[in-house]
Amino acid sequence: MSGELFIVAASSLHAAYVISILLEQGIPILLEQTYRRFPKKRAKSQRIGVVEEDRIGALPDDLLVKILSLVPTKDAVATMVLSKRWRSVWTMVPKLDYLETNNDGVKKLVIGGLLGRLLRRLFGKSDEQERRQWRFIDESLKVHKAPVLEQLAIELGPGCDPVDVDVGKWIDKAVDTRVRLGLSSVVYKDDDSLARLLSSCPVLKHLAVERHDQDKVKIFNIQAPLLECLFYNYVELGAQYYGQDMDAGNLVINSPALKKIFIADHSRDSCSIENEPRLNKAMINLFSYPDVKFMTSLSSVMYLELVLSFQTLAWFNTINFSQLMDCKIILGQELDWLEPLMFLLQNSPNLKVLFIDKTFMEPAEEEESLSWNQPVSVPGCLSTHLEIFEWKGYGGRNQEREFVRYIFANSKCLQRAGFSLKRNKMMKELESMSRVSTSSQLLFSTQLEYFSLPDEMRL
Amino acid sequence: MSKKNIVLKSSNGIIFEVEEAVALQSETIPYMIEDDCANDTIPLANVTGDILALVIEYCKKHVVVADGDGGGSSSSSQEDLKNWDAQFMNDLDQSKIFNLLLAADFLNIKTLFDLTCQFVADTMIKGKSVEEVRRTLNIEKDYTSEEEAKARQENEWAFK
Repeated sequence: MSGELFIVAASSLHAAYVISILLEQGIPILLEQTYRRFPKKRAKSQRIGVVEEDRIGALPDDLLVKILSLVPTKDAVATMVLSKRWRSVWTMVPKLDYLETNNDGVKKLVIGGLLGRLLRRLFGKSDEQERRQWRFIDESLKVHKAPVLEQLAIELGPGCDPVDVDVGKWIDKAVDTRVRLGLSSVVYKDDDSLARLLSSCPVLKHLAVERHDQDKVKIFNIQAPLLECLFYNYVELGAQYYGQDMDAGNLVINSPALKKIFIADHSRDSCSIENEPRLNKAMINLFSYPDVKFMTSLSSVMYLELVLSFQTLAWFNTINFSQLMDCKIILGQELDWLEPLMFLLQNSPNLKVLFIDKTFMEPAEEEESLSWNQPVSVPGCLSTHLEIFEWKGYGGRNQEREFVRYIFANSKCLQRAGFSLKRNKMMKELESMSRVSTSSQLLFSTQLEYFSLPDEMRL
Repeated sequence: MSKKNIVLKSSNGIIFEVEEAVALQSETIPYMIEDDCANDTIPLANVTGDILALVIEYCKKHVVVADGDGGGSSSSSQEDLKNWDAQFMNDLDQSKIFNLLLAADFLNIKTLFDLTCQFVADTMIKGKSVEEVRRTLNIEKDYTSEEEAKARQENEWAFK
């Protein structure tokens, strides 16, 4: 039986997940999703008042355990003093959830960016509260008896020194568990303290890191032999960060089993992927400087989501994306990007879906020169694979229009082209362009659809 | 496609005839059909008529949606269904809720079982003090005050 173990070290706010893309000038765009529990409806109290028997006590233990597995661990543990019947029921609960729930039933929420920092300062727990929480976790795990712990969710605040926390001991409780670890805004003693923390969880499969900009780590070395999925977020860089010698953001990923990465790194330092893992999914938002090994690891991806920057634009004509099927390009700053995009198409022979998103661009930013020249040869994916082409926030600049005209004229397998437009008059223009795939549909949308993050990012 | 009906009999002898698709949301009933092929009526010795009526009401509601558009239901119907579920649970008294929970467990209807457990967890235990839970669930305190105080003291970490 494989369960899941989450240890979320967050600073006071609770994490479902959030990606915050801080655009070049530090404008936060918050994309958040919260996990809502089943709608909370209270049974009418007078009806409850009528019942005089203790009916729940007549239920078999396994049903009581099931019910207690659905409430926060704090509430489950408290049932031990209800009556003798309840004394040890909670100790068999296979999921321990130490995250706190707010009144709306929104379980966990992390807000990135400046707002998040502010909220954390205002509502962050005191050290005293944190110590109490630690003791609660420690003591309740001592009493807990369930043979298999499927899930353990723990939240640690930045006031806690990870060295003091015996994460290894907690994880020992969770034998057979698919271990997931979240580290959010944790301040470490030094590089070694991070290394010790990671080495205490050798079976780690899923790691989510949201870095504090002054976490005292020089090289963030993610050494985890079985790690399959990494979420790394280092975009919340305070003013102090830029005043320093800009050398704290180095990232080294040393995880040969890695399959999926979600990296947002605005540090402008280096990042490297050792051991050439065979990645198949990558979401990347980088202003740091990836090395050659990083690029090599990307060549096996089937799904790529990329926020374009000067650093990542260079990948388009150097990486051979032989497996790439689904590609999403997000523009957050003005770049001369159309010609590099044609290189990407040339280097991605199996591309089926191309998605361009320019909704994060301010119209005023679109003053930079944009070049477009028809390529010498038609990219292979257009003749044989491209089925879906979508563009959100299409602005219809001359070069963009020519690019679309070219895609329409050469995509023989196209099934669907979709646009959300900045101005409605462009609809006619797009309709008038001829499409070589005559069976293809042309769709327009005014709907603003949000980023959907893959399930594995949920904490 | 012709629709086959299945006859269910509650512990107090009440007969319900339902479409096969409705009954087959229970993972227990197919085994009973196999075991009891000579007889068309499936006796459910653990479920009384009023509870079985509720189970069938739930299964009927859910089978329609599952059939709706050949597999994946649209999000709006999912939303409707959630609201319906919430209302369905809200209209029940505690005795019915716990009997429904037992029936869903016995008949192995996973969604109904999860719904009922979640409802009990959310409305009767979650976020409540020990005293509130006792009052809500009519749990008699069989500890003496000294025993309770001792238990609380030994486990003071659990009560802040």
